[in-house]
Amino acid sequence: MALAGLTLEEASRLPFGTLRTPQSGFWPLILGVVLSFLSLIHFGGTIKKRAEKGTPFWAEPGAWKKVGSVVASLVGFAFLFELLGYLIAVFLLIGFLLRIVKPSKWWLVFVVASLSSVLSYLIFGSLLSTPLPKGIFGF
Amino acid sequence: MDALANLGLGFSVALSPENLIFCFIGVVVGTLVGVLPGLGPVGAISLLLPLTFKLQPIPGIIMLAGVFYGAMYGGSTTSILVNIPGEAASIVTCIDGYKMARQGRAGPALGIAAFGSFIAGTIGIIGMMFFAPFLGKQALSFGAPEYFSLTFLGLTLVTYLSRGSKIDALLMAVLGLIAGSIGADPVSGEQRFSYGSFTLFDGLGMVPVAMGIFGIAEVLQNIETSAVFDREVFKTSIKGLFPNLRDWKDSFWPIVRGSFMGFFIGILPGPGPIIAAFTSYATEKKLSRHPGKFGNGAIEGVAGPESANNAATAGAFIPLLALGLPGNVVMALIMGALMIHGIQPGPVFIGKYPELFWGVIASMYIGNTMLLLLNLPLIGLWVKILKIPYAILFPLIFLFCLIGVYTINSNVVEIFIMLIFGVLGFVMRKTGFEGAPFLLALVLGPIMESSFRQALLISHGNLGIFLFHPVSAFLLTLGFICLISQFIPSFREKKEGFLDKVA
Repeated sequence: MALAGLTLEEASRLPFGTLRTPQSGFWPLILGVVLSFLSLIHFGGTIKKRAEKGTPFWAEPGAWKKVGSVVASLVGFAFLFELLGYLIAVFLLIGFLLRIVKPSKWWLVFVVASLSSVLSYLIFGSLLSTPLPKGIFGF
Repeated sequence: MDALANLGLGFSVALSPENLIFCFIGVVVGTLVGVLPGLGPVGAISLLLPLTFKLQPIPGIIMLAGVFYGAMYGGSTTSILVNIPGEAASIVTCIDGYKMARQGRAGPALGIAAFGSFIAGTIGIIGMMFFAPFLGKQALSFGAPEYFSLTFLGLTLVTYLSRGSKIDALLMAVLGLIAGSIGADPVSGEQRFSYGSFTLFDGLGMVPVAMGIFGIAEVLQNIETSAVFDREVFKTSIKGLFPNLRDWKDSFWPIVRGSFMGFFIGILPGPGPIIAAFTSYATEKKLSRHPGKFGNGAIEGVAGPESANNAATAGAFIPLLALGLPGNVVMALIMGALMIHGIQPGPVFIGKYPELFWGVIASMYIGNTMLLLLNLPLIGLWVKILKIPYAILFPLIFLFCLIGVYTINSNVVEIFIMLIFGVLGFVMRKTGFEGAPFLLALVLGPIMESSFRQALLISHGNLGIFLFHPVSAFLLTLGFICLISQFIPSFREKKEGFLDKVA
């Protein structure tokens, strides 16, 4: 419903036009109205379902920590990717992921993280000439 | 005769060394993706899409098509050996396929899945050869009202065929339409919902959204549970890959029925291979003289669904190539690949790009043959790959998603978009919202809007234009029937009851 409100609010700033000459606000406004209507129906259904027994959101205890830390590492990667450069950022990301969810042995972490960053750089950066960031260290 | 001559042209294109290599890469990657749980054909094609930008259109599309139908082959391997579907269309194969493996009949199960897929794939391709040009010719007379009605029908069908709540599926479709309006207005070019962001000037990219919802979200859901890290490949010697006479006798009609059923279901918008597999299983169980066998290692329960899901992949190409309308997420991605090369699929596509159309068809014959030859002898290799711990696989899947998105425009903002949709996709999966209606609506939205507005411009604001054109009226009526029937309890119960017999 919040999204419906946002859509309607933004659409109201755009020119609506007429049925003869619909303009850029025409379509988003119609969609916003439809979304409001559907959201109301969905909201009603959700209230009804709350009375019934629900299944927990997380599959097992502690799952939120695994998922949360993985998402945080991916976001961190996105922020640091261009700063640190491809090779270092990928090495750190893979290493972190190999330790955080189901910890692998350190030697395996080092080998897999190194191979992943180097091989993927060779495939995408060299073979396919994809411009990959070099970062502040120049590689 | 025209079709045969054109097929000859197609083979002359598909048999070039470059196209053979990319066909091979596509089917191998597809099989790998199908074997490995956690990355379906949507995620794999999203990853390879940026690669196709550097290729010529023909090898690029041949490769992506190979990934799609290759994944159907590969998915049966994990279903039979691990009881975990490698991709969604092989869910049903777990039921009887794994039971067969536990009875020491993994070989015949894998064998009939491969042979059934080959036969169905061939039938599907033959159907595509005749249907696509026929439909393309009819669609030459389509105008804005017809295109609006067709996209409306497509979206209502996708929600009709969704397994969860219909309201939720409709909500996702409408949200997808709204997301599709981000960026430049398709008619006037005015900016909408972009908030000054250069990245959003061209709208939300399909690839970051698809990789988020189907790649990142899938892996996040997998890593929630410890079981995925401890999966065990059922230890059995895989011998006797060639089904015996009895197996062929039992599987013959399921393969034939599955092929035709799958092909026609694949033409409809929605997750064709998945629906086809479920429908085939339910049909075979209903028609069987011994329905009690199902769930206890009935070979028909493998042969039918695996044939259906393969035939559906061929059917799915028809609306895209003949009408320019993708019926599912994979086709939306392939449409993206075509449009990057400046090729607009649709009624004039087959006439304008005969080498591309017939080359892809011929490559599908070749690809299906490669898959049959690859899958059976290489079962041992796929089993070894299955044994790679998921704890090592999932970081690599994330890596491919991240690189894949970055390589499109070297824009870090698109990585953030992918991650946002990854988290949203994860929440959607947990709360029963399906991603397919959202993504399809994202892709079809601009077509739907521009058709709607053009139709109103032509008719000077008269909404009756959608009804005065007979084809448009027919399609709109069908769409409204689909929309309304979802909410009539007796219709809903009959439909869900038929599919739920699979459980």
